[in-house]
Amino acid sequence: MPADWIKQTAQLNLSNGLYLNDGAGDSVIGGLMTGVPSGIAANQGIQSIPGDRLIISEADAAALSDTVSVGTLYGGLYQYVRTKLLSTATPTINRAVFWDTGVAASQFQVTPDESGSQGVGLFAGVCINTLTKGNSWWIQVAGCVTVLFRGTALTGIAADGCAVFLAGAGAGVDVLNGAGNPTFTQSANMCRDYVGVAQGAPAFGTASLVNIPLGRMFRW
Amino acid sequence: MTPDEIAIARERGRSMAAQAVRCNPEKRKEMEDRFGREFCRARWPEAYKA
Repeated sequence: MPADWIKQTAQLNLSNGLYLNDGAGDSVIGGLMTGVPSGIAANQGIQSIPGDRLIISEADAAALSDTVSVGTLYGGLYQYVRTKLLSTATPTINRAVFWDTGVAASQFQVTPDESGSQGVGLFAGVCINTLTKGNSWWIQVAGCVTVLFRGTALTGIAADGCAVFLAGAGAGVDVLNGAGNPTFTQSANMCRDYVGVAQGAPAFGTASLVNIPLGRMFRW
Repeated sequence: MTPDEIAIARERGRSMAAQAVRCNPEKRKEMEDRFGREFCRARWPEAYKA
């Protein structure tokens, strides 16, 4: 791709106050046409397609955050994805979502459900809005992000700077640090399930900041 | 990601934020109060074009 080529600016959701972390996502890839003719399930011409990425600075994130009614976004990498229409769970805000391996990777489809056969799904990112199933929108893939921790007591000792791992079965994320030596299997699983580093001590059932490195991406 | 892809993603993120600053007066004021008008004009110049 030539360096002087640039895509059209990704469209903010005009019906939801021009914030990145507001609204329920695009019901049509690239955004539903809202002008005349309206009501047709047609793309409004915006060049956002699943797989597209945004890199946002801290200032950009502040400008795009609905801090009054939703929350604060942070700098990092965001990716435009489609959510699975028939997922069991709903892709709610702050929830980890996983690549849907039941469809072609080129569709960049994510699901809040984790595959029973895999145990832990392929981590895709974290929802920054509560999306309607089947809609498309941006999720945060790397950087500082608010993530929901699992609803039951965390396995390890929650502390500022501790490592964060997928809890499995769509339960959120967990911490595993504690006394004792892990087995080879446990060590391998920790590599597989690693999400990032907690910023501030997390607590079960609440959303807390996690710094996710760029290296957790499974789909490009 | 290649350097070109990173550059495109960064510009899309910046221009999306400029869209928010240009179209939302409350957000523009919030950003100017937080970062200063000169920073905002430099970061999102298209938001300040007449």
